[in-house]
Amino acid sequence: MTVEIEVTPREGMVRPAGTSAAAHGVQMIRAGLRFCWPIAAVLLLWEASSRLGLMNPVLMPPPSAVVANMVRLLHSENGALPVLLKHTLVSFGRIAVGYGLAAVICTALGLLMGINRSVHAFFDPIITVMMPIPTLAWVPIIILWLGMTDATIIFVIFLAGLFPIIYNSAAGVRGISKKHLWAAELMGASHFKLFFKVLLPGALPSIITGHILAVSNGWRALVGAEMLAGSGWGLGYLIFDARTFMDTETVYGGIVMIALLGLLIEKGLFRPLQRYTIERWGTVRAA
Amino acid sequence: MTISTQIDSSAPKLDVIHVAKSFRTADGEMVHAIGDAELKIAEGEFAAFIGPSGCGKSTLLYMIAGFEHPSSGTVSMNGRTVDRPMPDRGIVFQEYVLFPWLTVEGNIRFGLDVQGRRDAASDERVRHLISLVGLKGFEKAFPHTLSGGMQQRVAIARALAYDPEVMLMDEPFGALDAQTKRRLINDFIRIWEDNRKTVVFVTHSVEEALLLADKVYLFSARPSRIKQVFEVNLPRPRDITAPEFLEIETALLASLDEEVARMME
Repeated sequence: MTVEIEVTPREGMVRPAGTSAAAHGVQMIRAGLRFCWPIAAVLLLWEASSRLGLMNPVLMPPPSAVVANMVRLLHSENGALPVLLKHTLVSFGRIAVGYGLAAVICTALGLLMGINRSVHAFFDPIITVMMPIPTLAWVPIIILWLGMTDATIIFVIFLAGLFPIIYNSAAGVRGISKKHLWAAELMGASHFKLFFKVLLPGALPSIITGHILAVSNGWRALVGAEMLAGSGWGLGYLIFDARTFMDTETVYGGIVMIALLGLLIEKGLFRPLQRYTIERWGTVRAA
Repeated sequence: MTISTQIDSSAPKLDVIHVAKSFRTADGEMVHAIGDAELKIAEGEFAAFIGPSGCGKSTLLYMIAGFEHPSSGTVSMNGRTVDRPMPDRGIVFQEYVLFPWLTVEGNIRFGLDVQGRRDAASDERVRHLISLVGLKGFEKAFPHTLSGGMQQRVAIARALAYDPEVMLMDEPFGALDAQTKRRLINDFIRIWEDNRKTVVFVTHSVEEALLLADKVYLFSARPSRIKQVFEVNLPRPRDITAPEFLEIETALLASLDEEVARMME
């Protein structure tokens, strides 16, 4: 005999199957407009006041001039890498290495803290004391250790990512309910499988939060570190250096580049990851 | 001394021998939850635990699962002492406790997957269970998109998938609305009649216990013991308005009320 049970729709899915692609497209455009119009309004106002002489055009150059200057800086001269692009790539490379190191080392340590009570008991007070210290406070001492080098800047970015990643990875593991672990163990999961099939996916929402914070902290720390220890290249160095020549158009150009890259990392790297994992699983509210 | 690894066929499926459980609360107060629990559950028996809140019925279930350990006494299964969670038992919690990152199918396969059982037979078993619990068409859905009743169906299928000998159920229908609960009880009776596994079912609903169980174990107030065992020799599905049903229900309710009153003192 086989028993088959039919489920009434009322008892079934509580969510509608999803809206049509066209309706989704319209929604995206609306959201885009909602996001952009206040920024456009401020830029227009700025442009007008600068051109009309209501603001000092040297300290507050019109946005159009900033863009024109960026286009010039992005223009290749005799086949060489455009200046602004090179500054950007240097900064990006430092972020990639510094954050990459933090991602690997600190996620591992954080997970270990989440799993092992003694490891947690040892590191937790240290992290609690160190976490409120602004990353840039370490720069002078790191310059003494490593000099005005790339290594210094990379180390600062690593430090900026260290605490958020460790703290959130550990919290993610510790937040997994006892009953989920019990259920998995009862079903025959070894320690190895418990880690990969329950602890890791269970901690992922929190791990992702830690990594987003690490990159945004790292990005802030990078610009500061490049101003203090920059060795000729990088967006922070560019801004600082342009200031000494009163080249405010380049200063603003560098700031725009920093904003664009920050947005790109957030929307291009972490949003798709979140959409594919924790939003699909319902372990976080869709933004 | 020799240690027997043979399953003793004369032993009951589950044997709870002089089990006591005390614990310390966060305020440092000692609580004697279970005083002296003694019971035997036979192979294929549907046993229900009922008693006042805080009497330790869920705690005893967790000790049978191997999640917790008795302060004194032993719990044994097939004549061997239970000391840790093992896949010869399956569990269904009140809060479903599904893995949100796995689909309905992924959740149901979990036990088979971690035990390394990935073959045609297990695929077939998962397919069968999905239709058995009424989840056809929802295989690829994630748990958060399902209603509470549907999630509990997934949890029941997940516990049955790797074919444990004993099903442990901790107030599985306690979080559901009345209508969903009634449907799930009826469906679970049919599922159970299909496989006749030993079931230990913790509940605080007298009606639920009497609709499902062969024997209802009534726990006393703290420190608890088994106060009374009610045998329910009525064919399923049972009629809650039948005189025989009402008779046991009245007796059970009266006895339970005494314990609830003692707990309040």
